[in-house]
Amino acid sequence: MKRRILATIMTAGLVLGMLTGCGGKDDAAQTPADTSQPADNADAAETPDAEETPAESGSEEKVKVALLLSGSANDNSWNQFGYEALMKVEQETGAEVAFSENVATADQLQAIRDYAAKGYDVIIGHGGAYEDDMIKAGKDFPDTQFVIIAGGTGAEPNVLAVDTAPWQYGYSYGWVAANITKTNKIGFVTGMEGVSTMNNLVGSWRDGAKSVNPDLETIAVYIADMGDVAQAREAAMSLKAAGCDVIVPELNAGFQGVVDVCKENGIYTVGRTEADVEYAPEQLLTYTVFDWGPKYVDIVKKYMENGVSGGAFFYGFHTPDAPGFVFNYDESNGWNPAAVTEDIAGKFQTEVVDMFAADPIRSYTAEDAASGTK
Amino acid sequence: MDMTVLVEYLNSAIRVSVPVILIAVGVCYSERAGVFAMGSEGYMLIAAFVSVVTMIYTDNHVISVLAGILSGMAASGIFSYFTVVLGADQVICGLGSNFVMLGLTSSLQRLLWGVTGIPRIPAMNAIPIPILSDIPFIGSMLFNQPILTYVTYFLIPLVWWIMFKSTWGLQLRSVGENPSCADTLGINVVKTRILGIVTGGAFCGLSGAVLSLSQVQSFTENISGGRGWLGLIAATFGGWNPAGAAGAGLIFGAAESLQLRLQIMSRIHISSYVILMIPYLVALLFILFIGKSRRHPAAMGKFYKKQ
Repeated sequence: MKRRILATIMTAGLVLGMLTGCGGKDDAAQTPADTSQPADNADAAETPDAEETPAESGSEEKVKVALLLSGSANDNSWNQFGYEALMKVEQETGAEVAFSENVATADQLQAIRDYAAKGYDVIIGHGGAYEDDMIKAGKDFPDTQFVIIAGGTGAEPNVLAVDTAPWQYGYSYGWVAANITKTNKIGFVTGMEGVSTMNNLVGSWRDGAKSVNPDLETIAVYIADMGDVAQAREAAMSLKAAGCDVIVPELNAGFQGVVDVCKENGIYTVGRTEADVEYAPEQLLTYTVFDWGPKYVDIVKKYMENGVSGGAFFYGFHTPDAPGFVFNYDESNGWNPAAVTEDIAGKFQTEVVDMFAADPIRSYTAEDAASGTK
Repeated sequence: MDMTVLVEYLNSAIRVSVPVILIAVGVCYSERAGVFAMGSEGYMLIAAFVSVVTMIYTDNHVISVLAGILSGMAASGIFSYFTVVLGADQVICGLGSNFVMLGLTSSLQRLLWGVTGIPRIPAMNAIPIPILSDIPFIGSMLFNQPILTYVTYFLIPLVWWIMFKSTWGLQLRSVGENPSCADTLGINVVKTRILGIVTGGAFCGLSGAVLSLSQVQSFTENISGGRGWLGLIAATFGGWNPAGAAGAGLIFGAAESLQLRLQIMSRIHISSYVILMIPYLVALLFILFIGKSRRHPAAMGKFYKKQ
């Protein structure tokens, strides 16, 4: 009998702990209900039924915006950008927002449909992997705006693929790397081989590098999990062993693994936040600020004014008012002045920036971005 | 293939396989005692978290590793109470324990550090052993590793000896083969099983500490990433023998390291998705060809109630 009571108490304690862990609300006043859940929980479509956003002065029906993240909202990288951008949307447009994180690929379509069925006006998938499912769902909900961040082509009338011209900044990385490499071997660590954003990114990186030196070796390694720091580390170490002296990461939480290896081995790399430059000032060439906030706001405002739109839209060197991406190193330099000399920086402006401003759109194939050495 | 490339690959294979080897050894202890060790993934996760947090607050590697080990023991201790004492289903409890650990570590991480994530901690770099690391080929492969790898080299023969040559090891195995017989001989089945589970938890804890302190130098959600499951499989192939389990774990580590190098070396394009399957294909092949002949401890998975 005593055992049963003790067992019941312990079970209740564990269950309580589990419930507080999942679906807890933040203390901050203006937050959407947290729909975080363990990564392997199949039911990613839990949408909040109690919002904490205070009612705005308008008595109009508020625009409802939903966001889907494939990783964690606090991964200090890709998914966190999406989360922070969503918060900006809430602040600047007064829209009602919600998000789901750690959405497994197999659950994407269901999660999208659930938000659409619940009446969300704008559904954003933060990542190119959402494209196919957004297009599928888009057919059944013609009045809903589906958005894919880092998407490829989108689809009329209501599936919008938005991106920051990955071929422009990929080309920039490759061009700079080719100019500073001493071993003539450069590396790239990323995931999701075959997704159109990745094709454009890695393909353009190779193109940019080869435009400087056609005999350069460009090695791309794809890892299984963009959030796995240990895997990313090992990938970077294998590139280092192959002789690369510049390694570009494009990962989620795994980013940190590559930066760590580069710091330990004096290899050049690029970062995502100012903290990366502070952490490894000699090895960082730049950190690229994407600031999805203004772009998310732009997308939601466009919907509020014009209704649904489809197709593809890119921000980049050719949209200086809403920059797609900004290279930062410190207050006065976009790139690490020790590595990227004034001479190189000057050539960058004419050979890369001006070139894209005049001819902004291009695309690369999966073959261009294939894993391995080219 | 260049010699240096081969040596570097083998060095990496050893480094990468250490966490899986440690879990596999821990699983051997638990399963030899007759209890499925499904919760290994969770114990590794909580230990990874606790060791990083301890490192941030104490800046001492030794204390942090110990904290990781203790947390693995505590987590497995709770599991042992439910399964060995109360008789709950071992597989379900183990799986449930994994979910709890995942939710717990993810939530605690956010509670403590909010959205910014856990700060980085100082690295535990490879330490070449003087003289030994100068031996051509073997020196760079075996003796230029982080310190916890050396600890693992030392532990494997030790745990093998304990399991097969010590009295306690014999008691542990008898409890897993025929608990009622062991009981009549005066062995406390419940206590022995709990000790076996907690020892397993200690190894999973050490494995988590290796992963977060030595390999990743931080904690990210679900950092264990399936290594617990590979450890379970490795223990099965190793015939629940710590030496065999370590060997199987090494093969998985080698496969994982290989898939990265294959990507780099391949001039013909093979999709990375296919290459990434390699470690798991190796596991499947093992199950097909070797798994069948492995006889598991006779009483594994069965609840023993003292008559």
